[in-house]
Amino acid sequence: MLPMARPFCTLLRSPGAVALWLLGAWGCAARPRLEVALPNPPHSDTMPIAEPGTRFVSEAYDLVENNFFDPLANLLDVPEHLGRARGRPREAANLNAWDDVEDSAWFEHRNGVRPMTPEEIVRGPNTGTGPDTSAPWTIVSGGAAGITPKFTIRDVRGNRYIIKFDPPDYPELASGAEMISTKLFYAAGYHTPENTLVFFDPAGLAIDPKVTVVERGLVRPMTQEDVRSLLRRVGRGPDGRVRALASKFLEGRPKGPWDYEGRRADDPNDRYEHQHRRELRGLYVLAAWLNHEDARQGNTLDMYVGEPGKGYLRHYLIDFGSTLGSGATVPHSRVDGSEYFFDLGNIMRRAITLGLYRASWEPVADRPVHPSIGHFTAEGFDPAGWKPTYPNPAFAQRTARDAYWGTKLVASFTDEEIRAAVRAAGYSDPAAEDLMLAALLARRDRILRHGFHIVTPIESPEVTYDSAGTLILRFEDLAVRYGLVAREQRSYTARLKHAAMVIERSTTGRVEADGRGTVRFEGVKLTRPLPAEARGRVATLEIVALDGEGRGRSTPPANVYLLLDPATRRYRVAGLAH
Amino acid sequence: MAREIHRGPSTLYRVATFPVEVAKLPFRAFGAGLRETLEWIETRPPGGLLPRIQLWFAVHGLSPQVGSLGDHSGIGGGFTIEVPDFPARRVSAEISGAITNKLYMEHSVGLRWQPAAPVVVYGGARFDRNTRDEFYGIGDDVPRSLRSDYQRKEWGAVTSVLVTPAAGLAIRVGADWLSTEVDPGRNEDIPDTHDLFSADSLAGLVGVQRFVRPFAEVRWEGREPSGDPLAGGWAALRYAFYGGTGETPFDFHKIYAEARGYLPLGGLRRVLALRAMTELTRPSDKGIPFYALSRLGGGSTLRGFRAGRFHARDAVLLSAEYRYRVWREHRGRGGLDMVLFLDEGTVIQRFPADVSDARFHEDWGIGLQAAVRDVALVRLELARSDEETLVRIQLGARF
Repeated sequence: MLPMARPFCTLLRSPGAVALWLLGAWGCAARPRLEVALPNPPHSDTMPIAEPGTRFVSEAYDLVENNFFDPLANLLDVPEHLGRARGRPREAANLNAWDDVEDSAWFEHRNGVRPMTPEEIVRGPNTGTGPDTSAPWTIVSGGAAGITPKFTIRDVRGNRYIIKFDPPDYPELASGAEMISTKLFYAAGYHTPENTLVFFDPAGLAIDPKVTVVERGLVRPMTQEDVRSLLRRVGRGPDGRVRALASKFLEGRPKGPWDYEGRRADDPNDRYEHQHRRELRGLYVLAAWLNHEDARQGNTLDMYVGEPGKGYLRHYLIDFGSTLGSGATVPHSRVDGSEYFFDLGNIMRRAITLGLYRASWEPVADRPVHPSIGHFTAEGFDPAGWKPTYPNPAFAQRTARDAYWGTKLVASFTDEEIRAAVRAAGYSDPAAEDLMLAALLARRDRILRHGFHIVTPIESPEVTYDSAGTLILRFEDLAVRYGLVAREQRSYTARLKHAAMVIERSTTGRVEADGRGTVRFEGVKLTRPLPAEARGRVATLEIVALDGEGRGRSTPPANVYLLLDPATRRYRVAGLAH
Repeated sequence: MAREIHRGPSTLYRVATFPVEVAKLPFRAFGAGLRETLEWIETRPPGGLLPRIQLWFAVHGLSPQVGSLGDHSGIGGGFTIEVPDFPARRVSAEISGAITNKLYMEHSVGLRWQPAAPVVVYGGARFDRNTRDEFYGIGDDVPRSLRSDYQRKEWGAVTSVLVTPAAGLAIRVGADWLSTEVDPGRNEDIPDTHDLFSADSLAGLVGVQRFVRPFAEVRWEGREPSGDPLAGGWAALRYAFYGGTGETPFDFHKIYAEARGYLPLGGLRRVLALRAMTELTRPSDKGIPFYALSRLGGGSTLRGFRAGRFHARDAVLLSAEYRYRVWREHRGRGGLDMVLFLDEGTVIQRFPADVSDARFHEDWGIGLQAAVRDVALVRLELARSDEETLVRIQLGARF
């Protein structure tokens, strides 16, 4: 296995480091804050690199690491605890000046920046129409590994696909979930495989002579009887054809899974620790929406894209069979998404109360809402309390800003776009489609109600001046835009600070008739000489949103960074942080 | 399991089988940190050494084992080999052996024949050695200061027929030949039983005793699920006659009755488990060797007392456990349970006449139990009585 950079290893091997660490944390806490500086643009991660080796990680090891080692390491992360206690948690490392990420080998802005049409949502990552069914497929590898059978085929065009099946008692369950989640994760911006629903006649399957199976420890060629035996465990339609999901082999050469923690030492492009990447922290919100409880490194893949020595690693999310109401081989249970595999907090609560403690999922009925959907509803769904099966290091590091960023991704999906993704599942029963759509919409709305209240949700700030020289900041308030707060009920307090110019002014604002929030600073006069260095030219405009004429609850402030133009002696917007 | 049911009325099978990589883990952990060890084991590329080892064990029907052979036996290991369809169809051969660091042993070889689905015929031989069984004297009030130990070696040959006429009901009849010998115990920290008791005062202390033992047993299995019960019950009634052969001066009857009930209390998995047990030993026209008396104490009876703490002809025991799940595996077929328990029991010379005058002994304790796929796998217990506090690790279910 190739090494990953792991902070916990350092902690374990060097007890003396703990003392230095604590001293460092104390030093950080005592140091005065620096002058505001805008972040540098994130590093590009698609530069040519030498072809890395392949990582191997076993599922059992991943279970132990994520359930025991990492939670312990997080518990001992004193600087992080101090920072959170002071309201200053460690923010994501790969941010640009707009509190966002640049397009990269991890993430590309799609629906959140330019709304996709329903047709584009349905097409998703697909560049074709799936495996060619005009000629028999040839099984080139695979067999009976896993509970649900799957194998790899090559079509007449020479493309390879992994063919995955649904559990016999739950037709369309896993394939439907995987289709919907693929479309939505892709449209949100993540890299996903090309997945296609296929219906085929198993009688037409050929077997490559090199394909073997292991029987009682002996390796022998695969036969048609092996295929028939394997397909007896999958369901069929009335016409005898088999429904399956065809997942096309990804472009490039596989280099093993990527971890949600640390960096890949053999990838020079991998400069940010994964748990501090915004797109992985913010993925929590999408994972909660789609109940991607199996978000662990076993369901990720690095692909080396390009010629040897000229390519780079592209980072994929793969295998969405355990999303929504599907647990791949069985429906999800009510506990999936509500409790970690080994949830120490709930364990202690039950132990202390002699088993009388009831977790939030326990009152929820544990039955599938539909055989093709499994257990997937908005009942009991808590956008901030949702949990993957294993504690995920990136999810655990998420801050309110990361969650807000993820909420914006979820909010970017309209009802019609979600309906289009659900249709891609090809449910044979319209009732299943309706139930799935209703659950996704209800969960999305809960996410919005939560995510647009944990920060001041302003976007697209712009500064103008009127003829009297009044500084006017206008912005879009997403809580107002999505109808979570009435326009008349929304107000703002704002404070302009520019230490280099000895300016500190406060004012209030409200939502104008055109729906945009507005604050005005009258009489901001720049009497001092302009500082020469760039840092001294940055001013901060802090905005707090209030519900209900200032008497309601307020949200943590958003900071709009203003840059003073020496020529015009006026400010312009240079950045934003929530 | 087949081995357990065919071994005879008084033998407990306590060696647990683990995957080979788990058994190897502690040994590798000595040479490296736990994290590095796990990483080394679990990140082998497909086709590496470990899968080959596992495949080899699977193909050859060999199950490595780690665990113990009962109270005071220490930690050990062993193996079981099962060869299906050998030497003929519907016949399987099995060989097993286990030894602990305190030289407790259990070895057996046997053939199992299943002529029809509800009938199993078994024939086999075995050798057991317990190097430090403890004895304090006979009665419900013997002092701890009389703690002593002895070694018991037992050869046996058994044949039996097991019939399951209905679901959950099992009837077994059979007979075995036993040869038992008592030698000085191996625990150097306590006196030997031979030093504290004389052959005149303690029947069976010297010599080799041989018995022919016909026996019959009825069991009812109504636990749901049987390996980690949440509801239902279980009952067993066993009878055996120990007929001394040759110069063996003992003849006696043994009757054992036990009933268990499980009451689900809702929640994640809360259950009240109750057990009542009695064992009666009745002489025929000769006596009873001391090692065949009914006994209480140890992990399977009075848990706050050491094994063999109380001996007499008859024993009565009541146990109650409140088990509640604190961690549930997501599919709901395993997890961690906390256990609160209470035991009360006594030994008497004649049941039920002496019960009213007997001194009952109590203990209580807490435990943590792990279950996998509806089977209780291992338990850590802390038990306290008015004599001492004991910590035990138990493989398999308590009751």
